[in-house]
Amino acid sequence: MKNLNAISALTLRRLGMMLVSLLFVMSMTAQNISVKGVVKDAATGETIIGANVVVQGTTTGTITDANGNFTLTIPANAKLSVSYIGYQTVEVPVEGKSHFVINLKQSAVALNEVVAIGYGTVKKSDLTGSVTAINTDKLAKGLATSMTDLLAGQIAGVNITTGGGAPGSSATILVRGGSSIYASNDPLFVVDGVPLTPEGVNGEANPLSFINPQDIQTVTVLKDASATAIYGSRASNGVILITTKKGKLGQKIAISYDGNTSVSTNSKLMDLLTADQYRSFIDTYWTNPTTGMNTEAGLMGTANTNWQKEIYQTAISQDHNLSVSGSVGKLPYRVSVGYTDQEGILKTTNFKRTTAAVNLSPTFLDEDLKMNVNLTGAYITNSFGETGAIGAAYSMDPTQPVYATNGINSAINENYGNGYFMWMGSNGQPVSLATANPLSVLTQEQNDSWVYQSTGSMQLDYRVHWLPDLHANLNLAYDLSNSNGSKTIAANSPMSYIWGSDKTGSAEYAPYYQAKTNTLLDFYLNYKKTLGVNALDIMGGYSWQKYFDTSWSSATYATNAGQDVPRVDYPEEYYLLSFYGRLNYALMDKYLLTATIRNDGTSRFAPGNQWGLFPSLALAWKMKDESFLKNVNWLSDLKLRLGYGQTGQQDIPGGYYQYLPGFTTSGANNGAAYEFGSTWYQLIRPNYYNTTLKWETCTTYNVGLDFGFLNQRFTGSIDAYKRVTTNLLNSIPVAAGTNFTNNLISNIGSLENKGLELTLGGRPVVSRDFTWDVNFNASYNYNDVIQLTRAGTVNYPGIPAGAISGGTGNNIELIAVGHPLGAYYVYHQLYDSKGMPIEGAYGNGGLYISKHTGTPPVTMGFSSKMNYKNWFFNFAMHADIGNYNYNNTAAGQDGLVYSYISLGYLSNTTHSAVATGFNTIQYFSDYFIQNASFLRMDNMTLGYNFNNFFNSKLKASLYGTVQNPFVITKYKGLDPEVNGGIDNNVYPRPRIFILGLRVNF
Amino acid sequence: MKRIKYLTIISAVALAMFSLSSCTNDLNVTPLATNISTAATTFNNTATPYIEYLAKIYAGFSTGGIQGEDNQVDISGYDGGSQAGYLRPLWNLEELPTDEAMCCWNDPGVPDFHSFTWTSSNVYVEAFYARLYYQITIATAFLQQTTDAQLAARKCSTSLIDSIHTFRAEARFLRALSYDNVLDLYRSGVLVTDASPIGSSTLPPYATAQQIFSYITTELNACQANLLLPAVGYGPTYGHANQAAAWSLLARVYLNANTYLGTSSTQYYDSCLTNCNKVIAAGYQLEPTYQNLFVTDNYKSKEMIFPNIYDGTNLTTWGGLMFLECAMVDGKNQAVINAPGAWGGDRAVQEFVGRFTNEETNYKLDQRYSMVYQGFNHPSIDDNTQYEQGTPLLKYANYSSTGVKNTASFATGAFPLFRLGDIYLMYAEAVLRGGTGGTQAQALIYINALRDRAEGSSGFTDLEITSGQLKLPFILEERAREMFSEATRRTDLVRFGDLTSSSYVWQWKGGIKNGQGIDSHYNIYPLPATDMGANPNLKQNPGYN
Repeated sequence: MKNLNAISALTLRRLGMMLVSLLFVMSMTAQNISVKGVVKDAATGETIIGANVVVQGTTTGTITDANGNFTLTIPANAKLSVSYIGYQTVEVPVEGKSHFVINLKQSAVALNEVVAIGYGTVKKSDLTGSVTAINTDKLAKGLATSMTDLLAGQIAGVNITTGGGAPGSSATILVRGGSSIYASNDPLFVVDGVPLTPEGVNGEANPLSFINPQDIQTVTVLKDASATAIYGSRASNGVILITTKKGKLGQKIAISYDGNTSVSTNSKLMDLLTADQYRSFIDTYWTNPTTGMNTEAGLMGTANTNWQKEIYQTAISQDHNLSVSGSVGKLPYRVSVGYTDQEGILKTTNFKRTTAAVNLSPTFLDEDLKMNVNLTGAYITNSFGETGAIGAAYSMDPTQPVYATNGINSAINENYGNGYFMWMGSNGQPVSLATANPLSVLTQEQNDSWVYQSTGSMQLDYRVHWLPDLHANLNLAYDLSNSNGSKTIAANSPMSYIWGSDKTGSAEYAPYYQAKTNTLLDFYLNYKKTLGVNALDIMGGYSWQKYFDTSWSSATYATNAGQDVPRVDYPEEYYLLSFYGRLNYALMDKYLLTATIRNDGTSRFAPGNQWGLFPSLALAWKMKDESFLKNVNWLSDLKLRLGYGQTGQQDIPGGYYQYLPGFTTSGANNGAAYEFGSTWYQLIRPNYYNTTLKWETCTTYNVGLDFGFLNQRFTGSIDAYKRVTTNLLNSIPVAAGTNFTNNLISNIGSLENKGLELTLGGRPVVSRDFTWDVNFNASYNYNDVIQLTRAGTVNYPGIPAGAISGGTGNNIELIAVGHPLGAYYVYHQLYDSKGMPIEGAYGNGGLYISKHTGTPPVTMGFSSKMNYKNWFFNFAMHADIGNYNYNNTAAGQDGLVYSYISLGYLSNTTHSAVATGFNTIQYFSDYFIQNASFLRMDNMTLGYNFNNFFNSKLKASLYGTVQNPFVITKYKGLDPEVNGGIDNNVYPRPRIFILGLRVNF
Repeated sequence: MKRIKYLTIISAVALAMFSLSSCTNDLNVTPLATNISTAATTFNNTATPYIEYLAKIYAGFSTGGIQGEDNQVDISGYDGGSQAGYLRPLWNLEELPTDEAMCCWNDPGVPDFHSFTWTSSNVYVEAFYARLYYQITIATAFLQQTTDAQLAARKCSTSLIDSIHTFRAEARFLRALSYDNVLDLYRSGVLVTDASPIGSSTLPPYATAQQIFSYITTELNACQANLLLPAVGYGPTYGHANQAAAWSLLARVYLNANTYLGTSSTQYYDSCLTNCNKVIAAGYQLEPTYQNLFVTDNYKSKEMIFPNIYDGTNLTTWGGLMFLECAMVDGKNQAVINAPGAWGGDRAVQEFVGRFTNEETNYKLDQRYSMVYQGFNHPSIDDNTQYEQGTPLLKYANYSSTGVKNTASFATGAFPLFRLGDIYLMYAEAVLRGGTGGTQAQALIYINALRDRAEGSSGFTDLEITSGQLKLPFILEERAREMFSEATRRTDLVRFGDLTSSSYVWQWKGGIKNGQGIDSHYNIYPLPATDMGANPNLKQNPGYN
């Protein structure tokens, strides 16, 4: 054992030497005195390799060698500053001495960090569950409009996929593979102690965009059930705790500005035929070989239009944030405002946001009463544009002009389409199945929303004056939103003849409204006591939360679009009541135990099924503190964690009253009435219901190991988990004749996720002038459906899922026992000797369940931050490996008949479709299940820190960032990163060039 | 000191619990929205809730949900307009596996019909079964909500109770109608009756063809007395199913009884004739002009016994008449029938055209033949991906008998679920199959009445047949000419033993161009895999395991 230690120590020293010689060649100055010294750990006496020894106020310095020694030539009156990561910096006056022994004390900062765990905090070293905390200031950032943009690829086991490149677009967050099929797979978000309303907000693509990322201090992800179970019924898919920035007691006023302006460009276009290529394609493909006639050629135009260029633009965006923080007497405060104006690369798309946040954290009664008040507000306007333009640009005949001009094409009729070209039939009427002019789709439709969102909380923490171990904590909070929006399609526009059900050229007006109010009362008592080797921390509390929402929407075909439509509200509400408690016990600060329990009641189930109990237990062993490891100096942390816990899920789509037998009326004038005599009667329908509905339960087992080397210069952790969801809330076929539906949400089935996660972080280079931080994470998750129907039934193939575009009611996935969620259900394509697919030739056995899914089994993230003197260079990248997309865009175009379907219009196609040569569209060929593994460089930033910005006292940073510079992939579609794997005309992610400035006053 | 400490802790906890425990009552909520109600707040002593619930049972045969365009669909997992409704899947199941229709769409389940390759997972097989049992279940729940005891408890007036008795009889008729579809298409299923515990997890028992047949006939015979009297033509009771609808359904069930039950008893033909005679005696008359049976104002027709109603404004769907009109036309022939859309999907194979051109010397005089579109000039379907091969059947028109076009976005008009012409054909067939209660001479009169009407409304007789020509095979031919595209063809071919036989083939039957015989288990559809998985009591039909 001793020998082994010696060897590894030797290896490390060699490594240190190499780093010294490679990276730090310092020049010496001659006229000064020469000093020598050795740097040691104050506690152990071990020499420290690679410590920084710098003459204060200069760039002169060196680092210690493999024996901890250093030599420097310096002025006799200089002061040495000696520092090393994880140790407190020491300043030593030279005072003419020539030999120094410098002892450094461990700071152990990393392990003393406090981490939020829900209803309290814990020292990082005392964590027992799988918890990742990220300080947002330490991230390599691109253009981040939402927290989800910051975190993509940063945390093992947390897979974030943005919905595309639209400004302010949504993101899907999957923690450890998702535990539900029908119920939501979204994690629970808790902002400063307030669990947010789970469903999104109508009129807002990303419900998290109301929080300005600039206001976020830390994001903590609770992953395993031993950590999440304290949130009980909402915690099955992980909990994400967001802590916003606060002022500090005694802090001087600090004003900072952070802003950027950016230019977004299209990074890739679909490989379509140009107008000339298309002309020759139609001539070749559609000429009848016997007659030599080409009946379709007459439909072609003479223009050369690149429809993709018509719909995209170079977009300019800006973002400004100003914050003031400090402390007025005993009142620490922070106030911030932010403004974001983001233009999309698809014309007419835009996202504008104004945010404000106020935090006050005063203390009273000799610091016995701490108060924390948070108020945030956001006003967001979205112009969604019409993303249908993207698919239309793929299909639209490039030989047709953008605008209708009589005389160029006989089919053009200027009376239709508001000046835009549209397909006209031989009867002089618009062709109702034809492609709508892509540019007109954008300009003739207005799809806007206006969203107000606000959260507010007041947290009171009272330390009982004569019993300081006891704290009482009261949190009162709200989270509300109010959104309005509407879609308006102009009368006589091309879409008014093609889309919707009217097709007569009428205008279309579809307004909507939604208001949500979520109110919270939380009260808990916390008692902490250390008695000898026993440390105890007990917390118990009660929580009451009410979710209320009301919404309304309408769609009318009116020539007088924009008129007010009377609003009818559809309000609904539910309540969640909870009792919860946690026990943290530490023996000798080495053996840790955490037990939590939560009893949740929800109004979404029938009396008798409303309450669910969610326990958890976790054990941790700080092995590093054992005598046999205490003196192994290169190892700075080693901790084993074991966790078990149960969490629940009650967030099912379809309303809050699904256990209740009830009736719904159609209302008047809704196109659903029945005629008796000459009177049209409204309809009353009995609603389906399930009185036995209850929680879905997810049981998680987790084993984890945390480790750190060289006084936490390199850290990491490995976690392995198994999660079993039982009593799955699922919409499954219900026996015919037993309910008022064919699929009933029932607690049937089970699902399993197994996975591994690895997180590594380190600072390979630490010196005065150059530091380098890297972070890497990788995770693997395997998901498997165990049971879907009641036991003992046979011949049930599974639940069709994954609706695709094309045909009516086509699905490409099957949820089946023994397969992962999202497994594709396709035909086995056969190929000719040249490797080209043979149309309609499929392997035996019909449809089969593919082993491929759109969810990546392996995900990785890597980020790097380098600082050299005042320069900094950061980048972040992430990779998905083993995911396969269903290339719906290609499947829908790989059918040459599609170019002309005897319906009076032509459709463009791609080069790859011409090469494939399918006559008829083959939606279900596994040819379209395509490898979509990728590595994406998310962002790269080069910047400079000014210590005296323009000779002032201001500190500033100026930086340039390129977001999405490249993607490495074999995928044949436009972008491999598609949430869920069905690739159908995704809003392309732009390449963004950002110029940013941060100034601290 | 210590005592005070504990006292404080206990009182703090107690205070917290006290102030908060009152909130646990919050878990018992009732819906806030005004469009959702419970049974107690829905049903009272006014007629409106009962008539609106009854309206829903009827509307369930027309549109897929309780909002227009099949929105807020009744059954889930299926496309509202194309799969989850009534008439469109019924039409697909009854017409696509026959010589009357072939569809060039590649939509899920559609190509299976012509090739006879459907399985228990075919989406139409599943969705239509779900629709039928949805209808059966809501009709049964209506009956369970309107017992005499409940009506008395709600203090309904005597006259209201009388009306509700009629509504209940209609609900029983509509339930029997759905059971007839179950019996005809699936041959077995489950029986949901007034005693069934809807909303519980109790699984209904398997029901054989015999059990379903007995239930339908018993129910129809029992509910007749409370149904409205037959009403000929448009009137204040339009839309309600009356006694003639029940007789018509009985006639159809009895005509097919031997097929359903695997028997060969002529007593069912007697019963068929009994019911045909009742309908005929009620005074229904053939519509003088055949085309006017299939236009927007066909509700006026005195031939209509039970209409399946659609309306471009008040009752809209992507299925039903909308589908029958739009799916049969493309842009080139859309204007012929003023279809609200041109979807270019369905058309007949050339053998159907032959029912006129090969078997009627005077087919050009037959106005029914004028609905067989000739514009494509390519009656043979050599390539099913090409819509312009084959022959569209432009039977349903979106204009009135006087040529007024419907300008709404959705089709208007009634689909005749039962009409007198069908009764005449059933009468003749029952007589030819040996039923008593009718005569061959009368049968010939009825058949020639149809054929004279087919020639026009001015007393033509060129298409009349002789008594020597009145044979069973002729009936099958005549049903093709008279009833094409009215969703009875598969039933007819099964009854005549021709659906799967190798001696009666058409293009692409069984998946090959010239057609071929197929295994006889395709005479009935399988019970859907969805219900097989949900209800272990079921027994799959032969040949589908």
